[in-house]
Amino acid sequence: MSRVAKDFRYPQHLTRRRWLKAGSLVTMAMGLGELLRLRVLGGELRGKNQDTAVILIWLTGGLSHMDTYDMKPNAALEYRGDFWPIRTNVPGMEVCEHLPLHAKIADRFTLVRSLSHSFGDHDGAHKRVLTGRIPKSPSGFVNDAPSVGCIVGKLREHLRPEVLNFTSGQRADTNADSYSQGAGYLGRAYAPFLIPGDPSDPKFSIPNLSIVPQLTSRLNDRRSLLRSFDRIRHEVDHSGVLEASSRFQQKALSLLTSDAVRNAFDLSQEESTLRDRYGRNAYGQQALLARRLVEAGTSFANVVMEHPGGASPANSIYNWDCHAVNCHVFDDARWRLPYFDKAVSALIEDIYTRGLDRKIMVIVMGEFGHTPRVSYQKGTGTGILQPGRDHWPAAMSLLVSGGGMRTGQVIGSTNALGEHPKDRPLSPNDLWATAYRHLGIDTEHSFPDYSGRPMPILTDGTPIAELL
Amino acid sequence: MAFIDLKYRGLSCRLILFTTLILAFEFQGTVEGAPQEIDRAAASPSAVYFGTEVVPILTKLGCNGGGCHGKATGQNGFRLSLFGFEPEFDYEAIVKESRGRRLSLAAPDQSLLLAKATATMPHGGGRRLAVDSHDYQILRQWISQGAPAPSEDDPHLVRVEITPHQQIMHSESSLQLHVTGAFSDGTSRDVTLQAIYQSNEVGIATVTNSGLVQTSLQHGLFSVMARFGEQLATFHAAVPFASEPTQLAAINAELDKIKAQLLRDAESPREWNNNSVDSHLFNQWRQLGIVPSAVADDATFLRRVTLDIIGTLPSDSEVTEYLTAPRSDKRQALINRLLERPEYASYFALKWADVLQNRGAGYSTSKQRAGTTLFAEWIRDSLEANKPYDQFVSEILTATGSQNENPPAIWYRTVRKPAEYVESVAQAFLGVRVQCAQCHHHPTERWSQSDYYGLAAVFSRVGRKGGFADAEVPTDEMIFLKESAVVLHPRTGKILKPQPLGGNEFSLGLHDDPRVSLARWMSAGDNPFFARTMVNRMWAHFMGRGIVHPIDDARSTNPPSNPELLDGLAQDFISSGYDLKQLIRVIANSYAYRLESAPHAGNVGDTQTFARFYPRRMPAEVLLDGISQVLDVPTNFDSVPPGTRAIELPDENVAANFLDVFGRPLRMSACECERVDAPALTQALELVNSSEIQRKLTEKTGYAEQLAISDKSPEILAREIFLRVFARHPRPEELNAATLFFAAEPDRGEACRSLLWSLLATNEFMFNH
Repeated sequence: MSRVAKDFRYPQHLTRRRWLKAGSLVTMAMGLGELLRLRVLGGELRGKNQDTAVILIWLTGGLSHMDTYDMKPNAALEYRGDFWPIRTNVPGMEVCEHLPLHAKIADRFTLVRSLSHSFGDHDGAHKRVLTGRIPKSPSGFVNDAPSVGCIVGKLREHLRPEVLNFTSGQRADTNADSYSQGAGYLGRAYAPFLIPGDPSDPKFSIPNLSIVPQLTSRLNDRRSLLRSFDRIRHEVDHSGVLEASSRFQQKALSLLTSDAVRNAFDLSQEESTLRDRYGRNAYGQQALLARRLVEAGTSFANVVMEHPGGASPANSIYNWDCHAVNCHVFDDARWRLPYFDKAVSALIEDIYTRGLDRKIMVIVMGEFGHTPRVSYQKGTGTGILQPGRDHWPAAMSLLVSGGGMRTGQVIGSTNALGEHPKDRPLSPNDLWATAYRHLGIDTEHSFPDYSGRPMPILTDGTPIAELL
Repeated sequence: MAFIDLKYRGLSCRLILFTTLILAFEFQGTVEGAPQEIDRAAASPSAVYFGTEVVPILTKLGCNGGGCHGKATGQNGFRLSLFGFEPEFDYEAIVKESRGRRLSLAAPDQSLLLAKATATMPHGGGRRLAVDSHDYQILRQWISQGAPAPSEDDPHLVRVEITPHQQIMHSESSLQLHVTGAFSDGTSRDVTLQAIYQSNEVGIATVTNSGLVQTSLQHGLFSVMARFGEQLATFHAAVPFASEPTQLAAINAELDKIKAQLLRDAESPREWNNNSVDSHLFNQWRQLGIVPSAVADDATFLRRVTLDIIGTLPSDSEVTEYLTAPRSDKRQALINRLLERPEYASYFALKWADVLQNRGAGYSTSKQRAGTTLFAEWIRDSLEANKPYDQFVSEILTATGSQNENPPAIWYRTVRKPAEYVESVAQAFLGVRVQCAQCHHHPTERWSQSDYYGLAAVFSRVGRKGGFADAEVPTDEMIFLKESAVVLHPRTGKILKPQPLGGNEFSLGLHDDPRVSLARWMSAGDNPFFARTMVNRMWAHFMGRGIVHPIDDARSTNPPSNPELLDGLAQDFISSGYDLKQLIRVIANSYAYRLESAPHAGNVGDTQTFARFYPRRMPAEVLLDGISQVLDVPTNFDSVPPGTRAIELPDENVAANFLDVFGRPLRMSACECERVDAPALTQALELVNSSEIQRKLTEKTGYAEQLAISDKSPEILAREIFLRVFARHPRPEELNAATLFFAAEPDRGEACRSLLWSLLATNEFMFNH
């Protein structure tokens, strides 16, 4: 090294520190202009419910409404199944006996029992619910229109450039299209930032955000170098792509060199008792992580709850898809619901305790309900005849909490057999109209599709009055 | 200005014309607020026609827009046809539905229709119409006449005209447009206030809803569309960059000088005479008072044209060789050389695989997916052999038989439904978007549902056999021609015969394949779409923007920025026998393609006339390959042979997070717009911190490590790195900064990695400029 330095015409006393300092002057000079540009870009939506967020707990496979939020104790055995309802702290509001923690805080959530749509397969139903549109094809999970989270992320991007606006926690070997979270005609850049894997796993880390150890100390060097060599003037490009590209580069470097966002992923910063309260399993720690991300500025945190982790009974299934061929629907629920009960109730309690209940709207749902009538088939895993429930988009239940909404109530109902909405039939779009209202997003705003046709955020749907 | 023929409407009509002009000037941008004394004059006893008078008011007020009563579900139980294209439907909705309570014939002012529109009754859409305004009077009059239904005998709209038709405008000035509707009974009237307006370049000019055009501080070309009923007219205007005679004279002198220089240049005279591109562009620059940017240096040109033709960065040795080669005609020679490289076919095959939607997603087995590889190879081979473009398209459209044996038939695997045939063909080969016309008359073009379903009828006899019954997308399907099939007009129920867009029904024998007729119609020399679309697509590929922009949205209301240039290129293309390589030669050898991207005082703000090179980010695949090439560490993709480059991947379903976040399309549509270059945080994170980039930087056999263990001096290292990444020599200040960094960084390996990474993350690397 010294030999090389001797060849060198430049002062040998130049140190790393000194070099970095030179770089930081550039930073300051550019910082101001950047700030001004951002101000212009963010001008449109400024001031409208910016400090709000949605956590969507997505129960892929579909929540069996008859066994959870819409019990029918008076129906015949082949409908009502094995479980009984229990009372909650709200008179007249009942939930499944395997959701006792829900029962203690029912005053802090609302159950909607009358949602429905018409897509009976997982893929079509995912697209139908998550994009708020009738999909072009009932099969395949790839969205032709952006999912709700993508739209939120896109509209919040300029307001909150320093955060991950749309995140999705999901199984490690999946991508944005696996659960119809794709961005359709907004472009893949607006797909969610994926948080793959189980945050309760000690080896859990975030790709592209967890810094390779040897890189940590180097990022500031690289940031300064990048600035000094990025000589193309922004005036060259009137489309703004060039400018925005530099902006995101610097943002990414800020994200990695500052602690704020990385800390959001560090669950060890939470009280151990609170982590226990959520449950030391995938469901619990995913929910806790979502809360931390939202606190760090995320606007739409999607949480795909599939398998809670650990050993599971032989007659259970990976996610919520409780056909008889897949699992014994009741045994599966006996095993699964306690994890779910703990995670959801802890999240609700936590956001109320922290005073985040006006800021954060929590939605818990799957892509459809399951058949009210129990069917029996041989399980492919167990080889024995067992009860199950099939897909049922004609009726589904969901839970809404926080968001400054009215809680402690049930909205809508299904008929005596839980087959279809009786009172207050609602569509997924009514739910999204409610969520967009909470986020201050005008649903008549439109984005062009690939043919240039203006596609409004929602073509129909009315905010659910009982929640407001 | 003879706007009105008074044959049927009497004197009052003249007054209407008079008032509309006053309104246009005095009440710009409002749809209400006409003064009362004028409106009384308008209250004529003559018959009000529903289709040509009532509906246009509803359109103008926005009642039948897609966000309101015009959407498929209507609004609060009241639904109108979108943009009023189905007057019969609207008549039913207004007069008969809801037990007729929307109108009160006895007391017209009490009609729900008027009460809601004027917000005298609560109306979700607010107040759209002032009581006693001109429009109000017309609606009231129609109701009081008993709300006559539209009839076949009513005069219908034949055309609309706009005046002025074209104009040179100054920046920050305004101009009132006038729109006249001509009717089948020979009458015409002023419909300025009833027409809908839209500017195609809102940055340059806006238009109020009374037809007042206002230009901004920006210069350039723009058009304003006026629509009344189903008819359209377009106003074309230019806001020159310079308009003072002395300025213009100086600019012309400058352009003459450039041209003279070009003619003197050893390699140019032949070009100037043969290549009409330059003369069309010079003409436009003269008209608009633009001086183009300077010609880019050799290093910039080499990198640019190499990226654009072969989707690959020039190697260090190619750069050195080119920069030191003697000057004469080396740019031309370079272009010819690149066109013979195998990467040319691979790169353009990637582009075509997007447009032809060679989609890999949705197959559960590799056997099912094999078809995408076959199709990708067929496209690649066709390009390598320089198959004439008309033949290339014809082989796809008319494909029959086994998809495994006849790969172009694989197009029919993704494109399966009538809507997909029509929209893909229109967007990919004809450069038009007809989607709107599936459900209603296209609001900004002449396409009707008959055009749409007439084209659908061309494909109605496409039959399929075999494949995997349980998969949505089967594999080896047989495509064959069914004996017969009919397509009905969705509204009239009439059987539609196969016909091309804007053309006449094909005359077909019993055994004729209408797809063959379609392909023949396309490649006929006088086809208005086919060649223009392709030359425009290629122009946009090289120049960063189409002459028609967006490239698949040609409309009379979205005209080409330089029609002579587009026509000239198309004619050349046809005369060359649809020779794609020749087309590329013409474009890449043009003067405009050689220009610097940096603007100067004479063309700052130009985004339409190609007076400088418009930079764009490299496509995802090219970028990843470029990084692999610089760092000498290939990307390992699953399920393809080792060493496969990103531009060579058979379909979009080969996993690569880098490609996804940088905008690789899902091939869900035939629109190139599906490939996005919008920057995003996830891209930056991928570049800064992904394990793939880290791996490429740290691999033992990689470039960074090899440099680190070499004994080259920092200055040599810096020079080498700059040449490799940017395809140019470093500037003195860059060399200085880089060598300073090497001096300050004790870890030589780290210094190499950091410097390489920083240069790869610059816009100069990521953009083609």
